[in-house]
Amino acid sequence: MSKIHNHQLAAILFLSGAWSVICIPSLYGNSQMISAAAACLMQILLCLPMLALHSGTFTHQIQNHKFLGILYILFFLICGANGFCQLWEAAPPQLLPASGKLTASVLIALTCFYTSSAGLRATARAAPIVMSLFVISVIVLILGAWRRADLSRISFETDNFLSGIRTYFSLSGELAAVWVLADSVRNHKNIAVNVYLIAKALFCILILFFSISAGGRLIYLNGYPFFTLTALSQPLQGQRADALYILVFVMLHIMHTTLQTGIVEHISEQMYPITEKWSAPVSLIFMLILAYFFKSAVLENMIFWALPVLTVIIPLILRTRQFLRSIRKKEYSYENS
Amino acid sequence: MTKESRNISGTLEEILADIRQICANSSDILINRITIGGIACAVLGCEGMLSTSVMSEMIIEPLTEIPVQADSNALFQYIQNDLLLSLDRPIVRNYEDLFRLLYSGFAVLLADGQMTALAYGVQGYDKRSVSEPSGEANLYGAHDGLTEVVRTNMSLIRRRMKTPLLKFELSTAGNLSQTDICLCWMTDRVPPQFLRQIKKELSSVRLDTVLSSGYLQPFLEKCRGSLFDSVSLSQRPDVLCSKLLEGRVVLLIDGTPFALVIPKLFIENFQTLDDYNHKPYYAFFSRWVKYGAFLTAILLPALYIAVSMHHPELLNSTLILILTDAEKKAPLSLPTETIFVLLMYEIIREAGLRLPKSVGGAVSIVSGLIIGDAAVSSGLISTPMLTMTAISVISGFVTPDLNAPITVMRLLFILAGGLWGLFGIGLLGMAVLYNLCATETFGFPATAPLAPFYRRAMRDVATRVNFHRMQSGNFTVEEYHEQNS
Repeated sequence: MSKIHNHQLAAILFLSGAWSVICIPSLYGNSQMISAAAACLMQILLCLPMLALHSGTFTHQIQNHKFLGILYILFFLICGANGFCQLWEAAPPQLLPASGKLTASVLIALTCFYTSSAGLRATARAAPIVMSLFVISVIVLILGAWRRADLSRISFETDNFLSGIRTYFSLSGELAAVWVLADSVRNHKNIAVNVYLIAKALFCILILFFSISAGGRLIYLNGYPFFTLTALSQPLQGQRADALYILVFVMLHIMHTTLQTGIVEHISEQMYPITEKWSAPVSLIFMLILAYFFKSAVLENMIFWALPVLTVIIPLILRTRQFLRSIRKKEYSYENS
Repeated sequence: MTKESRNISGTLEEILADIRQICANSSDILINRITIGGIACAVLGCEGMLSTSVMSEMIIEPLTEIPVQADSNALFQYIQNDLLLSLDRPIVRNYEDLFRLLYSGFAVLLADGQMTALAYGVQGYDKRSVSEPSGEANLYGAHDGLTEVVRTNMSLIRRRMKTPLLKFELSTAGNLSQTDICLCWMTDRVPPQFLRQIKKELSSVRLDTVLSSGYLQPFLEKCRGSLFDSVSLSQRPDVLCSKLLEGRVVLLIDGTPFALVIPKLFIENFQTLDDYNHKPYYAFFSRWVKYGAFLTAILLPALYIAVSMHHPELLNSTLILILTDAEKKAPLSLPTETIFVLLMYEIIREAGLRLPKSVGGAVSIVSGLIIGDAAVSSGLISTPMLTMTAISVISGFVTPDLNAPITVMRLLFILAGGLWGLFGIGLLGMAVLYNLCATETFGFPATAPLAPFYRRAMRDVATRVNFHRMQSGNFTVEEYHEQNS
């Protein structure tokens, strides 16, 4: 895989994570802000050992342990499928073209087929550009909501604290991507990962803060804090600007799905080079099929339980094995000498 | 072994017979027999390629005054050592070189008993004089442009860069045309590896002819299927010098006034020489106008259609009333109407380009006044749509290098916007962004210095700092090079 810069890695991961944040229905309530902050801290604590365990040989390891590669492929297929589920469940009808959600998904899948064929390096280059557009749109969104914000609606509650943490973790499928992509980052991958985690938590908190302070009880009725916020935040007088966020919505979903497809393509290519040409379309079809048969809640549950296995347990086992092997090698060479 | 690749050998008569046979007695080969210093010789030239006055004064006259020599060896030694007939005087050993030089405007001297020939550069063919380039206009820069002759172009660059660090390397391309090409680079700024790759690509060219820069460009663009160029064209020697200073490689091609510059960054489409002549604040302003114009050229008609058809809530009530009133009278749907107008414009543009200049003016009058006015007043086309299309087309003129991608993308965005509204525009926008991000040549990404991001480069991208700060930069394009591993 081509080398990518650390700021590109941070942008890819953040955009992929931001898609899940804007689409999650249950992420509402004052307590969720504290949950997001706490979950962010936990994820940083999780990532530090994960990156320390990373020996820069993931590609080599999946070539030797094909089962491992297949496990990761399945996980990223589930993440991609969850993206399509979120699209169907979260997107307000006015955001998608009149012809329906399935058509929209097929169009997105076709675009992702093209974008993933451009390679992970193209994704890495596109990410900071998309990121800058996304930041501008979030600033406009917040400026629009600022006028309606009422700080008295904000209170610190802890009733749904644990469920909030669980939700936040199930939104973090891209954490496993850190493990795969870490091989190809030039330098300072720890900084990139921490920047991504903090930025995602801040984004989540910002969306919750403004949707609650501007929307009040409305947020509990509508769900989907981001979409509620786009409806409430109208920077232009006399005309509605919600539709402009379709561009943000599309950009984020394509980044999310392209990342999952790109990683699946990369892993399968490493294991079976023959799959080079058809791994992207096949994985996109799989994602659509999975999304069609499962609900988002089911897929999120799978992500939640698979995440610690893929980001902590497997790296730990691999690293331990590597460590034991190196000790055995040393002993053998000592005995021989 | 073909006859052309054989070495020159035999008596003068045999050599001349070989020459006549190889060129099939071509009428433009002039063979003049003459006795020089008592030895039977022949002076060869190609009609129309050499200067007759230079030939008679600098070659024929001194040759006829040579005293009698013992043999042809002594004659050639005398000519080489005692006479300076021309500054450019290669020795020819085979027919291939002999014909290449003959057809390049050299005079060739053959002597009986000699297995070599002496060639003298006395080129005197008709050529266009150095004049202002038709494109790349600027206000304050130089007004001379490249011509069709590679050696003239080399001198235009050399006049501006009087340093031994600037190197020219002449070679040929095209199996039959044997077109002279010249690679130029600064030896201290271009890595040998990059240069080797370019030379390797050029040596892989198996074309019969190289008639323009477009013949070689695809060999230097490593990314297939890209909408955007990763190799640029320029007619201006001053622009070429600035590119050379940034560590780029320039390829001059004989027969075309356009030089290829490798690599090209996307951001260069928005940089002109005038940016560096204006005050920084104005350069900053005009650069952002260009960025805006590029987006307007691609997106304005598509956004107009998408908003009018799918998201009318984005418009205020006054605008909705105006648009509804205008579109009510138009018989065609908005996308059809827009595509029709844009295709008409492309047809008119092509007609204006291909026709003689005197008729080109008439085309503008007929298209602008008669067709445009008649179409609006008859109600075939709505005025707001025509206004949007006109603004978009004019905006496209701001970045002429991007004309081809703008034209195609504008139509595609109109289709996407018409079919799926902002959703379609978003999808296509992402596809175009990925296409741009995947564009690279020899490891130089077209999107640099934006992606990957180089903060230091923003002083000539987001803004344009003054030369006091610019001179401390010591920038070369090598900074953007990305390794594959």
